Amino acid sequence: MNGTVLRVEWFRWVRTRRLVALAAAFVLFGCVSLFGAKYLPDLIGNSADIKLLRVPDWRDGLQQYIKNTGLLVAAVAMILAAQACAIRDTDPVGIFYLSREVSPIRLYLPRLMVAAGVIAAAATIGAAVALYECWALFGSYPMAPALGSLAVQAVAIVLFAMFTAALAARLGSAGMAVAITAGLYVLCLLLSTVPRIQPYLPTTALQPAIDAAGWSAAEAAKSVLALVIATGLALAVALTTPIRAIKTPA
Amino acid sequence: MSHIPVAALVPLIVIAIGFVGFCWYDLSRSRVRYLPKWAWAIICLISIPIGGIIYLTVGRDSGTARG
Repeated sequence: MNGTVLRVEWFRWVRTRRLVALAAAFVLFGCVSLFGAKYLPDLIGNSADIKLLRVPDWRDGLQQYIKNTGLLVAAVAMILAAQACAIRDTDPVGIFYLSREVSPIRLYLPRLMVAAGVIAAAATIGAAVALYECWALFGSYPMAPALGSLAVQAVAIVLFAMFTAALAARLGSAGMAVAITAGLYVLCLLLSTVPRIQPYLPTTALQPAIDAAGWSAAEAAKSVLALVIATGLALAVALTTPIRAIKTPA
Repeated sequence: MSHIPVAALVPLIVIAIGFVGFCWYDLSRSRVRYLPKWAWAIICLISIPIGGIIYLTVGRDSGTARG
């Protein structure tokens, strides 16, 4: 693998506008989520039926960003990664690749690497914007617990997107990979109602709680363990399964 | 509504206007799918950022971009 292949993949992210969509999702939710948390009391303050128990603080602001990012933006990231890594044997470009390349590593690894790098960079920028808006709206706050939760979530989003991308590469279909991942996500949500297994579920890592005490390394490792294993297996399958030639009708 | 800090508001406005402007510029130069251009333009404007993200990921016919 040389630098040219990686540059081609980078240009595919830029020219297809996937890069802009992903960056906009992270950055705009980084702003909007904190505004929503801060000014919710003003928006519902005139209602006689709703009474706020306390004034929102920096934890509520960052928790709102984490909730939105862990659901909506993670969905956007996984869809874009799947689109970038799926090669269909019915598209002209897909036929070109699949009829000339025999190594799944040469074909899929650059796509997966660039997708992971782009999503990690976008998540970092989104987190930086959220931290800035949190300071601008709520004043100073302890940085360590905020960074810990945002770091766990960023790792989880990258792994989540890579799992879907590897599935898409193996199946040759972004839609099918996204549907499978969405189904697994819903299953994890249902399982998260069981307190004993909740710390081990990927949904916990995708939407980590903001705690003033911060996340310990053991808690973070527990929450991303299942994602690491699932993503590793999906990547191994995608990068070792031989590429079949284009199917022709008998 | 209580006082909104300028330091928090300015980045949001700049980024939102820039994103909608980019989507409209891209819309003017690209072919679209599923909906007419004017409908995508309205969706990009009334739902920031979801509308623009949906246009860029689903509505844009990326294989036939011009220019």
